Amino acid sequence: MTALDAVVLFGTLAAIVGYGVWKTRHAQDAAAYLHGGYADKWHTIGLSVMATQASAITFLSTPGQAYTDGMRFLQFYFGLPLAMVVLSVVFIPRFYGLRVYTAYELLETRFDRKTRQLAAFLFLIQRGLSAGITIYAPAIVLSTVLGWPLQLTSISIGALVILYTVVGGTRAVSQTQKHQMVVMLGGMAVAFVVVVMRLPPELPLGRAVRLAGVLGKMNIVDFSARLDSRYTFWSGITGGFFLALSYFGTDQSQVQRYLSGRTITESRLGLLFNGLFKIPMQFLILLTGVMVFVFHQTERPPVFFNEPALAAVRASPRAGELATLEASQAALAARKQTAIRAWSTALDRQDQSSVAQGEDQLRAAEAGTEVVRGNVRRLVHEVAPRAEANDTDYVFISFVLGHLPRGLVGLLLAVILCAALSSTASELTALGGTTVIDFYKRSFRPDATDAQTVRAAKLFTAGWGVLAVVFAALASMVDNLIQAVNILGSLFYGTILGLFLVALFTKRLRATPVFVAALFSEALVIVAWLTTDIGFLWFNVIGCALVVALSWALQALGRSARPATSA
Amino acid sequence: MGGSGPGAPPPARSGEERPRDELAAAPPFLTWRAIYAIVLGALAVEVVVFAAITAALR
Repeated sequence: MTALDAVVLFGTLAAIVGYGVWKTRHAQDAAAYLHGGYADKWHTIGLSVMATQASAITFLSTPGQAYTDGMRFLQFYFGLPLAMVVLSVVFIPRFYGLRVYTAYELLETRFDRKTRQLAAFLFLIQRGLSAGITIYAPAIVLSTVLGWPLQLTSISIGALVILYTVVGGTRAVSQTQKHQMVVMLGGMAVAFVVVVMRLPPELPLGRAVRLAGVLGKMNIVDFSARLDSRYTFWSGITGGFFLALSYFGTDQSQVQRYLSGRTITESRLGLLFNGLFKIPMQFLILLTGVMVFVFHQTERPPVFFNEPALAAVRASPRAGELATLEASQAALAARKQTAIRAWSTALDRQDQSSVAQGEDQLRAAEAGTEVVRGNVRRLVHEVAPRAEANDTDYVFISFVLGHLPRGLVGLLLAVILCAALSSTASELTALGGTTVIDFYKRSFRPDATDAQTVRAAKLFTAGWGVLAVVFAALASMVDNLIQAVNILGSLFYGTILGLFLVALFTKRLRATPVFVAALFSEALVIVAWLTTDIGFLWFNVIGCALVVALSWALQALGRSARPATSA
Repeated sequence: MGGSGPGAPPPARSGEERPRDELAAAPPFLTWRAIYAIVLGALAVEVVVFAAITAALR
């Protein structure tokens, strides 16, 4: 990293933290601290909702996901626009009608306090864990760039987020997110343009996309009905719908964003804005990852993108094995480059048989490369078990550091870091707010004054921040950050969504059968996750369906048992 | 703030504290149905285009 990059990175960081502190220098009441004073317009809400979801993980992991697995991850978002419409029609009017601070308050009006607090508790578990991963993601960036120890970097970032969030509250978060989102999108667009410009002349954009297709990376839509496949059209449109409905409708880190709207119309339009632009945004990010893949077909990539892990192998007695694998990869890369030139020439000449022959050669070389990468992963895991054996999260940052011009590196790092600060701040605010509203004020200190409530919110926000830093220290054990966040969400969201659906769409169900059904459903989902190969998106559907079905079944059982008991 | 602020049991019935006309407010442009149709229509177009790209580049 050059001096110019460092100035850009740390200058932006200081400006963001300074702005947050300055913006909230006056004392705030509980409504302003927890909900920002209900002043946001629809475009602020829309960008804030997108910024909350698009954390540093999005920018680090998603291009790497495309590099290794192609575009099929895009299907994960197919259910999102549907969910935005349902939320606008059904959920938002109910939240506004009740003037709730947290989504879980709605469950008490329909059922009882224990059901509300169960949903709030499930939210706190999964969001608390996710916040740890959100802190860990930018820690990778800085530890790679600056050579700091990963754990120390996590703690430093966590401390900064805690300071910013505890002082700023929701108001400063939403004020900064709008501008950050514009910068994030601009930064990714610039990265896309740079990678396309760095492709050789024989690979203009159209041909680069075709090459990506030949090598299996343009697998955007898969209509097969396989339950064990993580991303298909069906899992995206159903599981993705349930996940989005649950995330945006019942996750307080999102609900607090659109409940800060000036009116219900502003909140609805903000969510629909997200429904319209989310898929194109993810398409751009994934396509950038695919273009990085194409770029590395013409310029030899590292055999493994996690350089510190590779260095550990080089320093070990098994360095010779790594050298052999690197030589194999270099030979395959050279074969690919020759095949690409021949394939491109054949395309120019419209020589179909040579095109097909070149494509076969490319596929064979790519298959060989994958075998080599798999062997390197195994070697890294055996030599350095504590290092990340999956280098997906390092792919994009390696490209940024190695191939973006001076200044732009610092800007992109600043964008990633700002995104991380912003989304983590949003998470911590929601965690602190939910703890205060649904537990502290509801069960322990119902008569707390406004000042006491704000103080408690700050205290709990800081406490969740410290826990997130602890979880961040464990995050290196998961193989892909963005998938880990989504898997975590899918394990809990189905149950939470089931609770909201029975609250919103049934009239006869009583509180206790629903509460017991939710407990059983959560246990069953976790058991199924541990013991089966079901794709994680399906757990959103399964958890939700279990809550609904078991609620009715338990209520019917209770009815049939009651006369016998009383007799 | 006491027991009537955040954290207190929410009101038992919906719509008590918000004017009914605000809950049914029209968007500043088009109609709600038209806006929903645009969002869902865009999704349909995206799926068709992406499916075509997948098939063409396989």
